[in-house]
Amino acid sequence: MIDLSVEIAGVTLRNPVMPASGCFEILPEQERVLDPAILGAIVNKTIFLKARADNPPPRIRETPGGMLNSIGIPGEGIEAFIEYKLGALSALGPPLIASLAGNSVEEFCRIARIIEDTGKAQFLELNLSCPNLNDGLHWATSKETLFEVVSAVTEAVSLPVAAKLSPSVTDIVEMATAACKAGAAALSLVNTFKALAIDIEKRRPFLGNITGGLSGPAIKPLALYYVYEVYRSVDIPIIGMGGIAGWRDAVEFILAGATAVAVGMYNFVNPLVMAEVIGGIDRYLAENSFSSVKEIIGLAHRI
Amino acid sequence: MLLERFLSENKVERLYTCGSKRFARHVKKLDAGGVTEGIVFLEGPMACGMGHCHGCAAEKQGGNGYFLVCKEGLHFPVSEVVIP
Repeated sequence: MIDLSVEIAGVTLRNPVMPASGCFEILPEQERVLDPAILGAIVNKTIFLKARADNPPPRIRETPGGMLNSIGIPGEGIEAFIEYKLGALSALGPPLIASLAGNSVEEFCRIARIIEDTGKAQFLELNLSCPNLNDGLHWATSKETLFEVVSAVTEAVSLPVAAKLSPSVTDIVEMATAACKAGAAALSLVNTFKALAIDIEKRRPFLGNITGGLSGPAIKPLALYYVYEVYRSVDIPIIGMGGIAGWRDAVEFILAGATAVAVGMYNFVNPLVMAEVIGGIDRYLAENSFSSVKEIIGLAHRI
Repeated sequence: MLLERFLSENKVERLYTCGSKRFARHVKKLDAGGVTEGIVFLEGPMACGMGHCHGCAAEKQGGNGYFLVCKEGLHFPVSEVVIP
């Protein structure tokens, strides 16, 4: 019997696999392809204080091995989220990692407190790195603002806080270190890469919001490198993500140092992929005579 | 035009259209002018087709945000959506 459970800041996940924020909505039971109860954790699409419609179409462009999106963060706002969604998300079974963002440090703290007060989330994830909001990236592209917002939230709430960082920076280790010093209990690495596609017939950017965020297998080696680098210098758990398309990718992220992994874009290609990743990790560990997934976290760092 | 002649010579309660945006805009005019009711089938680049990704947004007429083509469509009363 393989032990797939992992622990992040005192929260036990039955396995290390979860959806990446923005790639998972609760569907009515009869429409579900995947049973969410099998997941290691549930992560909602980032919630803001107020309702947002967000960016104009086209919002998606397929690229070789990837998906470019300029969706932004449309949502119902925190009040409606709590009234209609939060209960259902937390009733799915796995721990809920509540993804949130604000337009100011005060707003981040306010939403974090509101969610904590419901008692329905086990963890908070600060989305500091959406490339599709006007100022979405700036939280995670300056170590000063990053430190300011993460430390404010960690002081405001007692739930553990994960900081979701952007890969669109010069030095990811500097940012990871700032988040860690600010009291983050975990790091989510990485959000999408800011990117562009151009419509050569119309001779203008393809996406309605001009630029987008690139995800999918195209970014996996880049994201994997960031996780590897950060693991070497920062001592808090990493939730690794970026282009995971199957269990082999997930094992690579764990060997690079991720305690857990999130699957994003590939859920859209294969709605069963998270179940396959869980099964694949289990088989890999059994076939290689490991008894627990914890034994292989960061194992690629042995010289 | 052929379509106008057809509509005037036949009892047409509802026009369904898909594909050509130019034609959909024309149907929108006929609908707005009370000639006939128009229904448009929209396309949208969908990553998931299930309501997870919010990729296939179609702008609501009147600036009230977006429909998801996959979950709330594919067909819409032509008066309720902006035809790009």
